[in-house]
Amino acid sequence: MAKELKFQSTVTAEQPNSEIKKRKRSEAQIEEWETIRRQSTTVEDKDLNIEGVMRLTLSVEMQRFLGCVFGEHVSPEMPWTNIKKEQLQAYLTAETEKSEIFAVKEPLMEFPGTEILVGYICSAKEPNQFYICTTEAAKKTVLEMIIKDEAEQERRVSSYIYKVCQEWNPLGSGKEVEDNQPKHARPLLEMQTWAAASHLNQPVMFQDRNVDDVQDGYVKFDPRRHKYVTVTRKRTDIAVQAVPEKCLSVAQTDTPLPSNIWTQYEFHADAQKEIEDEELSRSIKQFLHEKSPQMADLVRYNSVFDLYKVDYPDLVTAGHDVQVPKKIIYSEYQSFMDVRNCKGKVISAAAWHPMWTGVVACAYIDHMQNDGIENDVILQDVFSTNLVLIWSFMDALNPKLLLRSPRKVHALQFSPYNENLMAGGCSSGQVLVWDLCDKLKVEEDISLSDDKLKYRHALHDLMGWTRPTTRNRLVNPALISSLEFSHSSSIMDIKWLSPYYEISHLGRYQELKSNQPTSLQFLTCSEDGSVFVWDLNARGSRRPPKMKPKRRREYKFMVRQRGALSYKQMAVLKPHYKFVAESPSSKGCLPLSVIAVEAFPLRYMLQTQTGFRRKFNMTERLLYKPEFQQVKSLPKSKVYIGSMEGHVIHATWEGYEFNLGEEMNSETLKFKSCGDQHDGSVSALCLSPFNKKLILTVGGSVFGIWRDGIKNVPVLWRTSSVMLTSGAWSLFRPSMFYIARVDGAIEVWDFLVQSNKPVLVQSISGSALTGIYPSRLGPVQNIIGVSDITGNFRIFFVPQEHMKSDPRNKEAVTEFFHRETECRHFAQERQDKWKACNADLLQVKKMDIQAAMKKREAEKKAKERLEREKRIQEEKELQMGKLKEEKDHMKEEKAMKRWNLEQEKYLTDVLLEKKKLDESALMDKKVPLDKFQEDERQKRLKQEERMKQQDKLTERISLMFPEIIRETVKADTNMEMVLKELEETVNIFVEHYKENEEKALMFKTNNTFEYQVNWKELLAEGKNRRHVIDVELYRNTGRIDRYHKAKQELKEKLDSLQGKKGEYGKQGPSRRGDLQLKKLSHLGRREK
Amino acid sequence: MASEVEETMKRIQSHKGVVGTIVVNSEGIPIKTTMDNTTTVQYAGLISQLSDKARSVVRDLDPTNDLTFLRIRSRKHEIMVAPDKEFILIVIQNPTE
Repeated sequence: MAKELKFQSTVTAEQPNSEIKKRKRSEAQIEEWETIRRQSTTVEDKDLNIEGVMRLTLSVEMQRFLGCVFGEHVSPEMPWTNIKKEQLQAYLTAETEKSEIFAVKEPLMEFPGTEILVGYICSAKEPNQFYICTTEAAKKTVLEMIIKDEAEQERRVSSYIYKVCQEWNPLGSGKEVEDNQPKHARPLLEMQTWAAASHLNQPVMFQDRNVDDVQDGYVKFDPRRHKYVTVTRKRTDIAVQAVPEKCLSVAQTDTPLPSNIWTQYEFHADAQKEIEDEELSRSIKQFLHEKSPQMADLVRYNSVFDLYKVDYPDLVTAGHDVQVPKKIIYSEYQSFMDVRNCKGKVISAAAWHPMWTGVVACAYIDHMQNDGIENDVILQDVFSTNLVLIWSFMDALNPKLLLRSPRKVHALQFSPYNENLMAGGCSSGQVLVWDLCDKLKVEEDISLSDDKLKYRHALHDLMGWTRPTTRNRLVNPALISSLEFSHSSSIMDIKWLSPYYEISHLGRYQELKSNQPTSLQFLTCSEDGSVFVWDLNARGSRRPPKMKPKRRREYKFMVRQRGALSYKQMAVLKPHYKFVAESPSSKGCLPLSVIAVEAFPLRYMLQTQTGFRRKFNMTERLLYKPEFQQVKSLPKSKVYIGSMEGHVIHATWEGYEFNLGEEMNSETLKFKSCGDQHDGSVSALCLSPFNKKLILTVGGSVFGIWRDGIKNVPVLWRTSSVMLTSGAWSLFRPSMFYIARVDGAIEVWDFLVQSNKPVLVQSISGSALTGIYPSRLGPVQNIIGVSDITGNFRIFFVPQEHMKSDPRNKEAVTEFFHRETECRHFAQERQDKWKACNADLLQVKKMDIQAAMKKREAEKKAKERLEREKRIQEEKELQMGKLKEEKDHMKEEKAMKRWNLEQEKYLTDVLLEKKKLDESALMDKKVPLDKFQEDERQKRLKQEERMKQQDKLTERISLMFPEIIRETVKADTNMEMVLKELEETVNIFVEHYKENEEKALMFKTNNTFEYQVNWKELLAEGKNRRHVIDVELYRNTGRIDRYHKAKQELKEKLDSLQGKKGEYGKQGPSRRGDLQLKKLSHLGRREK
Repeated sequence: MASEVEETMKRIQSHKGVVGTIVVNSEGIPIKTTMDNTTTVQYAGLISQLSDKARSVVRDLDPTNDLTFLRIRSRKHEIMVAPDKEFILIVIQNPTE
């Protein structure tokens, strides 16, 4: 404590002078404290109650000797001191006994220690009084007492000291202290720890674990009660290096060329420098001489073509190219059907008007029916109405014009350069010419309002009782060829000839006579194998070739004159020239079905006044006029004909140089080529509108495309599974054509697209189609007419896709056919070569086939004879048996039948009455059922027919390919083998022959000819034949008889009628009367 | 002599799109050039190296075979290389020009 105070004092001493006052005061205080302290610590003048401590008085000399002089060694503050035992012992030995110290001589001498504790007693009344510790224990106790006293005193002193709070004066150590103190230099780090959930959920693998190996292996539990202290760790020290390490990187921002070992040299390539070295120069020259041409080529190529350009995106030029093709459909626009006139009739021919748009003529004929009297051709011809209707788009239900014809019309054709003329061919072989007398125009003049039209219709309806003579819809033929000069059989086709030239009487093309603007000639072909040339101009004196536009008055005149146009007058029209086609296979004429001539150039110009860019309506009728062109060369005298037997013939004629003197010159056609690929009558023969040389033919189930210059075979032909009825070229694409089928579908072919199957097959009618007619004029060119067997003429839109055509297509078509022709030629050549090489082999084969055929036929005949005999035998037996039975049963049966019938009738009557049903109504209801049944029956019949045909076909085929061929087919290739086989077969044949000869001779000798005549059989056969003939004869004679009879009756009837209605009788022309009469008689006969 | 060489090079150079023509010797040192020095050195060094590599590849594939021509088509240029025993003819062309 003293030290501290001292230190304190030194501290105060260091204080600056300004604080002296304070220090003085503190000194005074210290003195005060000293006195207090002295009083407290001074050894009191009383005996210390401690054993071994003795009180004695020591003289000053003694004090000096011992070293405990008051004021020098001891003081009131520090009364206690140690003296040396040796000094004391020395003093004791030297001194006398008189000294007071001797009193304590003995204990002192025995004292074990070296130092003896002596204390001065300040409080004693006498001076120099001292305590002395004689024993060790006393000394210890005194020392303890001293420490105790001191502590007591210090406590007392400290409690006395008054401490004043003072300002802290930093002396430079503060900084150091501060540095050692931890401080928040940055925000505290926040730590978050978590365990992945997956870790917790993981499957646990347990394994052995030694508890001694690890720290927390086990926990010891004491049996006693034990208190565990849980010490929570509240702070974790984690050091993180938050200062990023210093890094140093350098980037080169300058971009010099990268260099490596090859490019780092500093070579200066001087292009201008001349090469001094002769050797080097020469070698360079040599090198460049070699390489530069190639390089130059490549460089040039590169500069022109980009070899690496990606062309795929350019392949699709337009967006629509990649679209999925739409389904192409021929949609129907209209269908013409006159229920009144043409129900149940067949369209035999149709023709589009070449100048009026949307006008079509259709010829209707009766169904060819199989049953009974209906099949009577003559009756049908005479009594049926043979109409040719002209339709326009304006009205789909009522025809525009009704053309009359005396016979069925099988062919129709408008004149391509005279709008009013139409030629027709009859089944009788006659040619008809109708003059439409501008009647097609009439509709144009009518500019009536709707109301007016209505009134007109109403009026017409009211006038139903009048005879239809006033109706200008009826047109009778203007010309009919005379029967004697006409074809002897039905006309099948008509074609108009070029207007620029005409065929002379001598059968040669010649220039027109000066007074004729155009020629008016046409060709007809017929079943009798003849082709006639007709010339309307030949009658020039009687009738102007071109019709002047007729006034109404004239028209009326015509109507009145109609009755006068009798057959006799028509006899004047006779053919101009005649061609005859002879059958190539057998002698006789070839029945022709179609004819075609080379097309002539003719353009049609729009005549109707039209506004600029006006949109044309489908129903609108536009008139086109033909525009004649200058033609220099005469057409070639050639004609294409198709026969009923399936021939397609390219024929020519020569004509005569001088008149033979006959009434009509005739000539046999020369066949340049004749193909018979068709398996049925050729029903269509069309020249391509784009390529003069191409011809499309349809016949049977085959259609073919022929090309001029290829003889006897079509370039391309396809066989269909169904029969084909007609065909026509498309007017838009050179490679497209249409085929009509029996099953009511049309096929659209485009052989540039695919030549193995049609592009499109669309079923458009339930019944067989009879013809297909593309329209050729202006805004209605996109339609195609299809006629079917039920008398419907349907008009279809040609889809846009089939109207577009690439101009290159034309070339492609030519190219295509050229290629095909080449192929064919090549094949033909090879075949010929092979045939020439293997003539012997072929001969042998032929012989074999013939032999086989003969054998088969013989077998067949034998079989047939046997069967016939057997049958006859059986029949005879049966008849014999029947005759007897019949007589007995006849009467009985008849009676029974009658009874049953009556009963049935009675029953039905009763039933109907009871149920209150009307019989006629029931019959009406039954009609569809009947129809259905009838259809079924027809179908079955057809099927049977087909099956029969199949049998025939297979038979024929099997005859054509006998087994022998099949066996030797493979051997053909090896000549030696063939020869060997040949020898063998010849040998075999020789052997066979010998055997057969013997057998035959034997047979001959054994079986001498004996023929037994069975007179009864012969008679029966004769009778049978006679019966057949009689029946047929009766039918013929009977018909004539019946006809006369009916005629007589009706004449009587008519006479009586005329008596009643005189006016009708006068007015009615004889022909009409005749017709009616015939009809009536026909009806009468039917009733019979 | 030398003028003939230059003429040949000029002829090649005259084609459409040709950027430059270089004749390099077998060591990769340009002998004749129509381009500037740095480009020439770059082309000469790198192309001759590539051509050597290409030749070795061709030879490795078939020891009797030899490289006759090398075309490098890049986005900007087409580099045509005609290597020989002693020299290499390099033509750089810009075909889309």
